[in-house]
Amino acid sequence: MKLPVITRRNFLKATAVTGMTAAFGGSQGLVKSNTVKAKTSSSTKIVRTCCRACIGTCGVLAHVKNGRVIKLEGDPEQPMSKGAMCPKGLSGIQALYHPNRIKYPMKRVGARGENKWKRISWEEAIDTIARKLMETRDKYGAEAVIGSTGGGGNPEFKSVSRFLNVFGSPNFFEPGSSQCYMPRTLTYQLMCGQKQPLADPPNTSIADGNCLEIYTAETPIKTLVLWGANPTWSRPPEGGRAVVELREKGVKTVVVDPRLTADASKADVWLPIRPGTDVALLLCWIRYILENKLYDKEIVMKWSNLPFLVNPKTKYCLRESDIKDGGDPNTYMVWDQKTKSAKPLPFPWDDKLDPALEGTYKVKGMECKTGFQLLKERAEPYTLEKAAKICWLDANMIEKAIKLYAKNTPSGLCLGVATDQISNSVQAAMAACAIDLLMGNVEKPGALLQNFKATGFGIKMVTPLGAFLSEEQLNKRFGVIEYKGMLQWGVCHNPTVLEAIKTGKPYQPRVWLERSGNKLTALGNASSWLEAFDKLDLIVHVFLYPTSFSAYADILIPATEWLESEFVLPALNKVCVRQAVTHTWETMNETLFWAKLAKRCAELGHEGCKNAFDPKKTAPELPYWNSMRELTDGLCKLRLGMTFEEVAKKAPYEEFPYDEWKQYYTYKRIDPKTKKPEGFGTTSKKLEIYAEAFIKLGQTGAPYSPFKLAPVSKDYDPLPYYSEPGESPLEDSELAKEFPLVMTNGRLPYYHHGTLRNIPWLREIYPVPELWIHPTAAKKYGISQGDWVWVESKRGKTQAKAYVTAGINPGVVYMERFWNPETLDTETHGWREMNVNLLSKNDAPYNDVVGTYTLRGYQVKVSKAGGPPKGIWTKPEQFKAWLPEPSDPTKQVEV
Amino acid sequence: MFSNREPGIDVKEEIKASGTYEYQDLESATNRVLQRINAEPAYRIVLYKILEYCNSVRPSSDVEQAILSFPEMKAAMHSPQMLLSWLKDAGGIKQLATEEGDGLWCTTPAGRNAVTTESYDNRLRRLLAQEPIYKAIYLQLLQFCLSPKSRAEIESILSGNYILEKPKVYPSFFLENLEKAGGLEWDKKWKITSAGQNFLNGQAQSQT
Repeated sequence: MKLPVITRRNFLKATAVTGMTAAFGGSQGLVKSNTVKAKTSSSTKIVRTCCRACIGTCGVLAHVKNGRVIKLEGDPEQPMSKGAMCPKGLSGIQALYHPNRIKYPMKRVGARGENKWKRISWEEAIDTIARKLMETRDKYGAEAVIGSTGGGGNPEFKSVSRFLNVFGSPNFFEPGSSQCYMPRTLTYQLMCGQKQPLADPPNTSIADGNCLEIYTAETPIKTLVLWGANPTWSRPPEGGRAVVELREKGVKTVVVDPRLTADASKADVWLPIRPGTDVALLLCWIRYILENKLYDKEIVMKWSNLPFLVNPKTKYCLRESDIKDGGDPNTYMVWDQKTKSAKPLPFPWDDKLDPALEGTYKVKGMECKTGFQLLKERAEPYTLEKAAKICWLDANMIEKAIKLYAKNTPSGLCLGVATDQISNSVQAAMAACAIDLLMGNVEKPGALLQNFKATGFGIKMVTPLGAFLSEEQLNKRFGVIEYKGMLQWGVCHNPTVLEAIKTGKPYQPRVWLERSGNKLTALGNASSWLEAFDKLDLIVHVFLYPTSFSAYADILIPATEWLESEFVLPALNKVCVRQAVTHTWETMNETLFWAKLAKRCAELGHEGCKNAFDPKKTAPELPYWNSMRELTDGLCKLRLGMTFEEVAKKAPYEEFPYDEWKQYYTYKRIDPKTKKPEGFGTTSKKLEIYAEAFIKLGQTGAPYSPFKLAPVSKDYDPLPYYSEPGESPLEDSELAKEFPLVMTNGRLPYYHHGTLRNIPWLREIYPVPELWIHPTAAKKYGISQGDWVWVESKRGKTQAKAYVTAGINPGVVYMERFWNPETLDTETHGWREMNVNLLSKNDAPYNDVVGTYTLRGYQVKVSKAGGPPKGIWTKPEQFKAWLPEPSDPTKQVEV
Repeated sequence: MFSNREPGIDVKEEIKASGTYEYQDLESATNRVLQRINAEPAYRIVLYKILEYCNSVRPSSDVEQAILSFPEMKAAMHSPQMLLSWLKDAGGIKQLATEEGDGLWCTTPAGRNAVTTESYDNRLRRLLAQEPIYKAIYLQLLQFCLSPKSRAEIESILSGNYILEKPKVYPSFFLENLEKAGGLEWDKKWKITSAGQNFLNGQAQSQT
């Protein structure tokens, strides 16, 4: 490089590139390395810790010799994983010592996308980011800073949102949320209530660590429905293992999934549903259960709100105050069949009354139906035959599945992530929840929905300091008025963020703080985000290793792997810990990084950030911390009465006896204050199958917003309804003719979200994504087993390898997210070769409550390709370049 | 802002006359410069300013000082040398060899053409024509920022303006656009640029 002027010395210094174009992807790391950095010792010690290669908490025994982790094995003392580990966890050593970790803070020195970086100090990194944040806030407002996170190996979901709340930005988002888990946590919470504030709201996601009943050896459950769930692949050592053991004990299973997954292959009934049509099938189940009176009459009559009359004007359940001056606004009206009149029903029940469950009754001039009646009418069109036609299923098989679930009881319906990825997401959760509640599968032995006592530590380490966000700023959150369900997680609407970045309306985001793996693998219609990068002043990427997203960033922040981090985790009635086993390079626990960034902003004069370090201002939540130990000690003392070290020494330990943890029928417990049963944690204390809480949510933001927000343009519907997917093969449209197949996706056992594609042994097992295609479709399109194929939607095209199998609905194809770290340094940056999210759909229709877009159930076409994408690795020897490499000694930084 | 250039000279004609570039070459060379600048949103304005400043041949030390004096550089992540290297690689500026000393920088014909193509006047005119409904607000803000104003002061004068309600836009939408068009700049507060001032004057004259 000839640079004779501006003083050559200075210029070279300024443009010096560490590792230059070398290669995030190839055989060279950003920085070559020679020796081991870790505490040295001649003997091997075993450290008890917990994995975080996914969102699970599997117990791990890490063997450490001479400061190096040399072996991982399962910890039999962890009560949910019981000594098992999966390939993701077992690859922890390869992840920890990966030659291509982000080892130091780095700043971009070339153009975005050129992959030219320069090592900088932590001080420079944090100061640079903080100054830009402060300038952005002064110029445009704090809302111009957006922050995101993601699932893969994330140590603490709320770290980013806490920082943003403190900084004053309402704009926290992730590819998941509305497309992962939130539709279910929201719906189940509004319908069943929540009594354990430190746990997730009761719901039936095994993959997210719920359904704790299945981990109890004595559970009497007889039938388990896995609806769009595949625990054997999503959380193998915990939920997967538990389901295998249930099956071994004779528990029957029904699997609703377009593909023959591991769990489907062992099921008693497999329903290979057309993706995106789940609500039609769920409504059919409801119809069948109601029509055949298979529901639990005691629960439905006495513990649900279905006998309540509904005010036809407001759609809320009718209150005494609606029809009587001075009537109680908290007492609901029923139709008493004895007196043939509307009567207030005191909580929990009045034996003197004989409430009608169904029917329409005239009350004060209004035609009032019961909640039950409205649900029945909603489900009425969905006969077995109609559902079979919509969902591409066999009506007899649907009936067989329903009978198994409804007659071989107790039973439970585990709802997985599949329905979170369709625009009917919340409605699917409403219907699935209604089915379990109608059957009385709640809080009884064998039910998946429980209110077991949460450990004192709970599941959240970092609390969000939501009170720091003002009403004015909350109102600026992208999508907050239309999609108020997002308030539960404090997130904004991804497509609205993108639209704002592209158009500047209603205001222009300027800085993107991103913590997670590869957004370009995880976001729907990934290419649509490319334009965004040229509109942002600063993009910061905090992660363990560079991904495609890093290529477009300005600053890279090196985060710790799970073997380098600390955390406290509950597992049934036990407390477990993740301990830092070692520490490499200059990586920092990101939970600490956000605190340090807040500290620097405070020093630069940010009032909210200053206050966030003051315990008086943050109470009852903890203030920000200056070290990880300050945080872990603070939380352990507060919640468990011990220091972190004391907890770690003791863990895993029982916080309270097993029998005390496993509490059934909490709704029947007598509340000493009221002398009445506790009921459920809903407004009515009943199971709100007629989910009127959605109406209130839409009109005000309650119960999640501290401020009354403007109403949505159209009230949310309190009952589930079915909508055909935005792209439908049923309609004889030009689109369906050109793109005749329906795409779905789903978890692999080797990877979590977009992570671990750089792990040599995992890539050896699953080097490239498969496109599952039925033999009839394969024949039609001239595709044979193992062929390279093009897969194309309206939005883009990508490649995969054909897996021709009868284990998929004939009209459906399947492909999972993928990216190629080996081509990071090429112009594709690894995200274009084989990425199903080049095809997925992130435009309307969105779910009306949470704004979900379509990751499953859109139209594609498939054709034979000439060969694999250029530059990808497929052979075991190619992955050798990523085998563990010792690391340089680096100055000690806090973990 | 174009103090080192004689007004009224058409860069394309000038370059054609000098024989430095074929016309088509100039187009593509200009696009390359513009693309590079547009890919650096944090430095877009600074990079234009550098091209303007180096329209006359400048010693490196002067260029560096000038860059550091730009208010947009206050929270900059990159050094002046780095920005110069980007523009040099994109063909927007060039280094002139010297016997000794720090060396000299000057804007290339493509760099000059990029500045002309994207002149402030053009950009401001385009902005106002783009969404006529907002024209009055843009002019109001230019006028208001004749003396420096904080964001809060600007939000205050726009508060209650119905034009911001449907569709909902926030005051920063206008600030951002005026900044991008070169009408306003940020130096602890928002203030009008000389280009913005000229534009405002031009608008006033055209109305009289």
